Amino acid sequence: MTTLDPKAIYDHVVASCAETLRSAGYARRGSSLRKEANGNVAIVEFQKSSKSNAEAIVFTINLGIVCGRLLEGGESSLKKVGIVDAHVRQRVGMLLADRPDKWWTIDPKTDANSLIEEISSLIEYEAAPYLDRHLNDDALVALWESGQSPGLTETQRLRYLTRLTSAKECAE
Amino acid sequence: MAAAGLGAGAGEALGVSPISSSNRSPAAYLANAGAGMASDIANAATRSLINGSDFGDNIIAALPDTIGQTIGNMIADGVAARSTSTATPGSSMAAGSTDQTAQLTPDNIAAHMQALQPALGNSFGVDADSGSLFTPEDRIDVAEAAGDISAEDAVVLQAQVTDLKKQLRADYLAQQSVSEDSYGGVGSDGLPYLPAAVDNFAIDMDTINARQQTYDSQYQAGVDSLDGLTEAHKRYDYNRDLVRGWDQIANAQLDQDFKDFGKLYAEQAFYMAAGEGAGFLVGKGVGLAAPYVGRALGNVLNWGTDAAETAVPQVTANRLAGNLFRDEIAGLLKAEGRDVSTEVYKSTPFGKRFIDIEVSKDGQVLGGIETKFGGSRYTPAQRAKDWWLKANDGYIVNVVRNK
Repeated sequence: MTTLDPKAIYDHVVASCAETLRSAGYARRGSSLRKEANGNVAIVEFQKSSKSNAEAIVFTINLGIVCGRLLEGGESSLKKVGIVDAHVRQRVGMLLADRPDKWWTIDPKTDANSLIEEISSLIEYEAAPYLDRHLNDDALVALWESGQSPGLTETQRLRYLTRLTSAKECAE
Repeated sequence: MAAAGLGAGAGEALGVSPISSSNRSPAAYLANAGAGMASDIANAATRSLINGSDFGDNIIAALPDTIGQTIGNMIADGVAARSTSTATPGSSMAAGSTDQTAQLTPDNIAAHMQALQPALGNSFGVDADSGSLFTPEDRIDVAEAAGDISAEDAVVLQAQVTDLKKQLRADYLAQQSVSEDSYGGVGSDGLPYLPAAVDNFAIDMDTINARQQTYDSQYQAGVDSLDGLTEAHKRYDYNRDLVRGWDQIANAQLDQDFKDFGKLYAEQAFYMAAGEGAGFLVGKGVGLAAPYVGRALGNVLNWGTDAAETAVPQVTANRLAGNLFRDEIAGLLKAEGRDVSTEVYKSTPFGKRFIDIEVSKDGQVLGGIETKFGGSRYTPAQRAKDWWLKANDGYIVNVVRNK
């Protein structure tokens, strides 16, 4: 596979990860893998860097949870949301030791099999469990009540926490 | 920590209406956010007036090997400013232009500014003929009525003036060692006693006049104390003197805003002529946003405190290219215990914003950094988006330059 061009390897990586997470309920849409549950959506998004060019593709992986109750259009708009809409959002590297901003580079010398194995394993054993843990409103409330809000500012954390808590109280 | 700085209800404190289906237009965002920029803007505006810097694009000038030391100093010293920006007032709009504005000529900028001038009065709002002082509020009204600025821009400008004057009032009260909530008494300097907390010192003449009119209408000659009436009038006159001073400062800020408008409208005329009309509203918006957006790298390490302007001393030119410069800044922040993510997309009503470095700590986003290398321009579109991110989400974008 080292004879493949970077784009082909990149496509293979995404496809392999999609296959890995299929059994966990994720479906591929473009460069994202999505799983809808409890009125929320978990997203695994592959993002290419602006450093990418014809000779090399540099990419990272974003993880996100979109809470349907916090969307303007409600849960009905869940189908259209992407990583920029996520209420929990962080790079997959944040799940690793030392929390690096992890980017991978694919060039003609890249060992595709090794790369696929590395990323698929990371997605299956780190990313998916992390997303599953936060794929319900109670978990989001607990996360934000702890003071943490990956991908959000303090202003957003308080705003969303208030709105989600209020929505839950109204429902009860 | 940002939590300490913002406290509970930060969203409401920002005064920005939640996004809703009824106010998704950029104009609505501008209007809503303009009403809530509050003390952040006022503080920044005040600083700008004091030191004459352009705080919309605080320039950090440094070599990488000095940045680390500077960060260390910042951690040790807090955000006390150690040097001023190397930017000159208005330079972010006029200098360092890229091709996008290279075709602007001094003539067309001057023409737009000249077109604005009759309606706006001369410098500091003083009418050259009568010598009377226009209030900043009146100048904005006149400019809007004359069609020189849009209704949306007028709303935002009025909010800015109000915020600035409130801050000046707070500064004054702080100098008098009284809080805005304090009531009554005579200061050690013998100044007339302060009105009740609900009144406070007014920040505009109309309010003072209305208050005095109400007071006078309730005064019963022969029944109420004449001394009381005299004292009240002294108090209102004293308030008027304060307002005149605050108006002068606000007018100075407004002068700069209108200059930016002139340039922006000239830019927009160019955009429109070039068939890039979509940027029109954004361009107008950034006329307001531009001076109030940027903070310096030091604040990244101290987010949640009120930002002071912080800049790293200029040493020599940085030889690294833009991406390397960005990655180096990210690495330095990482080394200081911050989590960093490069190339982060944000959604705004003006389109997606590509943040060079997003900085987090303890699982919470502190803000973003726009790295600029080699005179790269902090564009109007970027400013508009950054302004919106700050006003709506409390997401502050700092501009860091290599020189």
